[in-house]
Amino acid sequence: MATVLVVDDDRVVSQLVAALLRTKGHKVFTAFDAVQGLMQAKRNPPIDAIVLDVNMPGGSGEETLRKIKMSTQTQNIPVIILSGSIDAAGQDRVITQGAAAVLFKPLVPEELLAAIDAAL
Amino acid sequence: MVDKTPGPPFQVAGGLLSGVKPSDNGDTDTLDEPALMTVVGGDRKLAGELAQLFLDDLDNRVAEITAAVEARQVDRLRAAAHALRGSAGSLRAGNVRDASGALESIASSGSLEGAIHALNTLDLALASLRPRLAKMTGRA
Repeated sequence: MATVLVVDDDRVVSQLVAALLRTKGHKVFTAFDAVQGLMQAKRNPPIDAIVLDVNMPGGSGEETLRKIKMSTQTQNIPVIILSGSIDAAGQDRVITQGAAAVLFKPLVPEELLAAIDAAL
Repeated sequence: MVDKTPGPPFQVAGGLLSGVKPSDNGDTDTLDEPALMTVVGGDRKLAGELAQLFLDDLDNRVAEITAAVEARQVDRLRAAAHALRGSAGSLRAGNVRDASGALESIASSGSLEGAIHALNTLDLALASLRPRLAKMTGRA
């Protein structure tokens, strides 16, 4: 089982994602903004995957993704982008920047769990 | 993005929820409970926790949306409406999701034309949703 970091300022979404992941036996940490997320991403023992909201206070998901992929400590962690509004160009950007997958809100549990399984 | 602030501030008379009579008829447009239960894998406790989190944040979110409309701040409105839309969508609260989405779209257009009407629609949707969620939390 994996350790997953969920970064989303929406507590409803964060709680839902965390609960879904825990049902599969994953250990879950949560962060509610980009700054917290970046700090948590560098925790030890290491994070195996990150679920990242694209719209958050303290820096957009895209910016956070860039920082994750620029840091030698975190660049190999697969990042699954979660968004309620990302357009096709935005999807292309985040995939180019290294996102493992893009999922849309409202969350579909099967899609989330499949994306996590594929990323690990 | 440019924060467009032309003209005098809007006055949102009476604030949200004034004079609105909520309906509690179990309709799935207000809250699609079967869909939500599917999302949470039938876990009623989790559904209740999500409902409580939504309700805990709701007043602040609505206040932010109202303040953004009154101050005619489109970027602020877009962000606040987007946040509420995301939460409502996750809970399968369709009417609130759609009303928030309408406000987000209005803000994204750069104009606030229709914002008061959209705010009233959100007001009505929330008035129906609140008791449904409160019931799910077991605190109604």
